[in-house]
Amino acid sequence: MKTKLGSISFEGLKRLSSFLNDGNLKAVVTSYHAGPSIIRPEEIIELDNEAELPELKFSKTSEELKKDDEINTIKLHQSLAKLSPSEASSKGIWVWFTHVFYWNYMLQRWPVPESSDRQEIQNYISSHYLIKGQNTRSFIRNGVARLWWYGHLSENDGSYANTAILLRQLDIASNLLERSQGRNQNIRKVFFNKMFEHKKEFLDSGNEARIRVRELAKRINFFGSTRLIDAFSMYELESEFEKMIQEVLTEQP
Amino acid sequence: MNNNSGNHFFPFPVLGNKNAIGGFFDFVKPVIREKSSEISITGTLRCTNKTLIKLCCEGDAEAFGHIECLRTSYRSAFKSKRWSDEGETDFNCSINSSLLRGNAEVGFFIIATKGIENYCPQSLDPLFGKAKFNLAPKAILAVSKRFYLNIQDELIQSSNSSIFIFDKGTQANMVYWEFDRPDGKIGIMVPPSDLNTIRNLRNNELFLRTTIVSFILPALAQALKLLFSPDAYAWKTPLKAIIDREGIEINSAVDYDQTYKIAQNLLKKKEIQENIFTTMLQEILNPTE
Repeated sequence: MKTKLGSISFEGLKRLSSFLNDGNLKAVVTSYHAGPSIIRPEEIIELDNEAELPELKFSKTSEELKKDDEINTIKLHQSLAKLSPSEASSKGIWVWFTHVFYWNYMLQRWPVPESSDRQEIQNYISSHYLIKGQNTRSFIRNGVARLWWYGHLSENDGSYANTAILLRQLDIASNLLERSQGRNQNIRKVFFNKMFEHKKEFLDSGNEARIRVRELAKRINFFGSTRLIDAFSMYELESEFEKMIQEVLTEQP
Repeated sequence: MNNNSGNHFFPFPVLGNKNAIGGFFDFVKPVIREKSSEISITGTLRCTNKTLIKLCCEGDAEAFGHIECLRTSYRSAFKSKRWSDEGETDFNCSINSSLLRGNAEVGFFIIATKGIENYCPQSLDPLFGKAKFNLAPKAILAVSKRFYLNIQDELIQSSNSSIFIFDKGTQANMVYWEFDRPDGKIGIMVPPSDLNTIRNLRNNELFLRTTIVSFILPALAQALKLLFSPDAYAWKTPLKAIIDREGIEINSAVDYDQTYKIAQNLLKKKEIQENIFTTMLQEILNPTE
């Protein structure tokens, strides 16, 4: 069944923000622990877009969570395939998802810590339930927006093979997608291709693979600091990335 | 369009020194159009650095326009056409508007098409003496100043172009600013009683002038300083457009005294008040509840 998407009005976002910043801390924590969403009906704007929204899975163990995230990412991105990056960079839509449509999922998947530290609670809720900031990094922190953006940034001509790579090694997200060069689609494609080619060295669980990913990201960053990396063809990028991978493997065998 | 933001890559010595790239390289006569779902950028790239013109004409260097949008995680480069001997080339590109939102940054680069040995840039910073450089393919040789496209920020909810908005603050006796509001404006947060005073005295011209000096001037000075912060605030775009239109030289080294003077000058100008600042003044006259 298709659902009309919604967005939270400026007034609603403002009220949530001041509730979080100035409201009674106990009331804030209680509101984000159970019960109905704290969004008021008049704060919801019904959009023209509609979609068959999937049920999002959540498990208790971290290993299962990774698998759930992968499935959720693919399903949500497929169901919201018509959403453009411009529309998906609206804060209101994602706050509607986290506080209205996927409220129960959010309470389970992103439980607000039981803490008396106001700063900790504020940071947690504004990062995972709201959108703190205006760049992709802020959207990748939001509990639902992250799924769409991971899907968008890893999907390749309808294939989600790269999504698994991205979610298996979350360092890739922070090392590539949150940096400027990861915004270029060709650079992302070649990066994922190379990760897949060298999956044993870069995607295995364990600290060594993570260190290698970080080293490679540093090298790509340095490589692009004095060259216009966007001007490289796919073929040239493949060759340059392979050289950098070999350097990393020499240093981090 | 704002051309006052400086360049990304200093102190990369190949580009020259802080004040010159060994000649002028910039995007002139720009025309930016938004038609149906496409945003097109056309104009002329002009370069006066003879070494670079020679490299471009011989095919050893080429120019690219580079567009990057932080909000939509978009980044791409578009090649310019062939260079004339006079150091000019036409540039045009079009981008689907659904890929951009908020401030999209546009810059231009001249890059080497192949490796160049013993490259000696004009106006090399004296710090590097008579150094020569062996450059890799696609090495950046020149960078233009950047400008920003202002892509409609909130598609779902309309927002006018006002930069400032008066709003009810949470502190009883204190005025403060909010620069990261969801509506993309700079909030001048005043105690509830002051907001009522502003509303009641809004037709008093003298009071209005005092309001501008007391509330808007310091907020504008602070906003001018924040223009160079990495945060992508939506109000930066209209503010940059005003600065560009007024031809004001401002860079990241600007101090608070200087931004205060710039803000004072901006607020004096009638033509500024007639466009974006008029809306701002309307916000003062009709503050939010």
